[in-house]
Amino acid sequence: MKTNRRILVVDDNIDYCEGIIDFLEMEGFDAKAVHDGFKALETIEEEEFDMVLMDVRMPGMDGVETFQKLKKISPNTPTILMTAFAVESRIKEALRSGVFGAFQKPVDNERLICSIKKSLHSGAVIMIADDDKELCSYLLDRFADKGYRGIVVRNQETAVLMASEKKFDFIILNANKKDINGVETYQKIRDFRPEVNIIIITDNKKETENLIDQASKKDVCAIFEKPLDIDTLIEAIQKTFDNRN
Amino acid sequence: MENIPNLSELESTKKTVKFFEGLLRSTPNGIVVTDASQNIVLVNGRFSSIFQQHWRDVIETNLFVWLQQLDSGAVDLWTELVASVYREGHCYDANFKLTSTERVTHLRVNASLVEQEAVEDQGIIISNWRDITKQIEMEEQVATSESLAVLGKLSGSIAHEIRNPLATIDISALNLKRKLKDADEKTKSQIDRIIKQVKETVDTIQSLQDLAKLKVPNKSRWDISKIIRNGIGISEIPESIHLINVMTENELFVNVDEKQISIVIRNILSNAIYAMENQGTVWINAYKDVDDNVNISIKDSGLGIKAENIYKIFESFYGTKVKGFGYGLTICKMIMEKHGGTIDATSEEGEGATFTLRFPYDAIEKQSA
Repeated sequence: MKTNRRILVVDDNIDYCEGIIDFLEMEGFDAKAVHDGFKALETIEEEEFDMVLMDVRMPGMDGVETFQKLKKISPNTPTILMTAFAVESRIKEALRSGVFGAFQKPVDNERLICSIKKSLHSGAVIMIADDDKELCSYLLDRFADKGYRGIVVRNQETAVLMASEKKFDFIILNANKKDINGVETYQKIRDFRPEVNIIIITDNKKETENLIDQASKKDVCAIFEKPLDIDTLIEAIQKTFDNRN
Repeated sequence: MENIPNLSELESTKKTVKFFEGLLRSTPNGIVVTDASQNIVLVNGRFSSIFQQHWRDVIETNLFVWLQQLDSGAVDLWTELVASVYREGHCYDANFKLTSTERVTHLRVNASLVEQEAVEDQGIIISNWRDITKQIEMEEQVATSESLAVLGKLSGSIAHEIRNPLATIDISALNLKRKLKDADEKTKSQIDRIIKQVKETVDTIQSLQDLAKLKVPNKSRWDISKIIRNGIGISEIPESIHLINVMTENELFVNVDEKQISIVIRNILSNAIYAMENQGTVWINAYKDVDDNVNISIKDSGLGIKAENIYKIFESFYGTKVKGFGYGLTICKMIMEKHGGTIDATSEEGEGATFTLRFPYDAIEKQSA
């Protein structure tokens, strides 16, 4: 029998813990709460968890520091941080060092569940930032066939927000449509997600290559010109994903 | 008959009268001389202009006619002032206010007794009416910016202290909603109300946090259509809202802090969406006006704003909060002022509202040079 996925909730607000545990259980997860960072590390060493949902501001050791230590004990356990109010640079630091996602309290619960599910998924998680609806829905279908999880965003701000809420393996950016300024979005996301693989789709490959500065070009795993050869695109994703794992 | 003045004496008397008339006319303050029954025996143009009258239409009227046009309490205040003048010979400054549809005028008045020997001339008072509107406005601005600085400092810790319990209320309400999905409509609407109010409180806190982050604008040259797009990008716009960009001009550049102006656009949009109860159309335009200022206008198809509220909606921080208007518009005004620009609202009740952001030509040119 398949058991439920287990989530460790770390928050010094006991009332909130009880609320979120009820919520997670209704969503089909098992959840357990502890109320400080030290206890979290102890629990993670003793028990198996599929992911960790943790508050940032806690007495003693904050969520970011706990995450850094947790990473050493259990490097494959994804962590999502929640914060009522924290210095932006602290959150950025956490994202850079591999936190799966960060949310502001009160959390948008639907998006949180979406993010948790993505964190538990074993296939590639891919963001498609393009305003071509037809292309996007076609890509989503093809990705689903391959067992990838895809999310479509239609503007720059949402792309950046989504990248902070979920750790994507790939981000497919449209680099020359007016609505999504691909190169700029790419630089913003790179700032806190240095690990992500970027795939750029463009109407004009040469022009786009010139736009991306030399230093960051090496991070772009592929540039595709339109009309898009989707089979080659999927092949490239599969190859990069397999190599990394 | 030695008492009859000769011609040269007459001339000099005439000159003296003219001299005093000139004196009266050229003083920057309103001057009124009243007799014991408060009839105006002498008045200058400055006083008359307060009421948009010529002095000929004011002289020989009763002062109370004009006092009644001032804000309530003026008649009593004047009566008190006169009593003090009769008792002491002079009075302390008294402040009067005149509110019209276009503006509020603040007047500082003092008066003294005119000494006369003849019995029938007793009780004559000369009063001096000084327009102190600018001064009052400046004082109010200083008070506002001081209170905002304190607010900014506090908002960080307030945000943390309030977001945490709100998160608990929010998740508990959501759990209840799910567990009681078969409950009666009344119960369900109670829960929805909790969730909705939590969201409104979060929006208020977000405004306070925006305010705390509101530093001196970090300006650079931006294409206005890009800023509009970014503003829309950070807004939560429900599918039921129809957003129409009616911008026809290309390449309008402004020298602004893009992040701050995006907040302005987001706040106006969120206000419009609230006013339309999540259903309707928003038109966005950007254009250069006759003075070469760059304007962004955002019009909604909501119910519009009542005339008496239109000046108050930007003033939420100091006690005149209009129901349905959060702090967002006040922040818009502050950001626009920091950019040397303006924000205005026009509305016909029932016809929606239009918000116009105006960026001065100067600010634009300096940057592109």
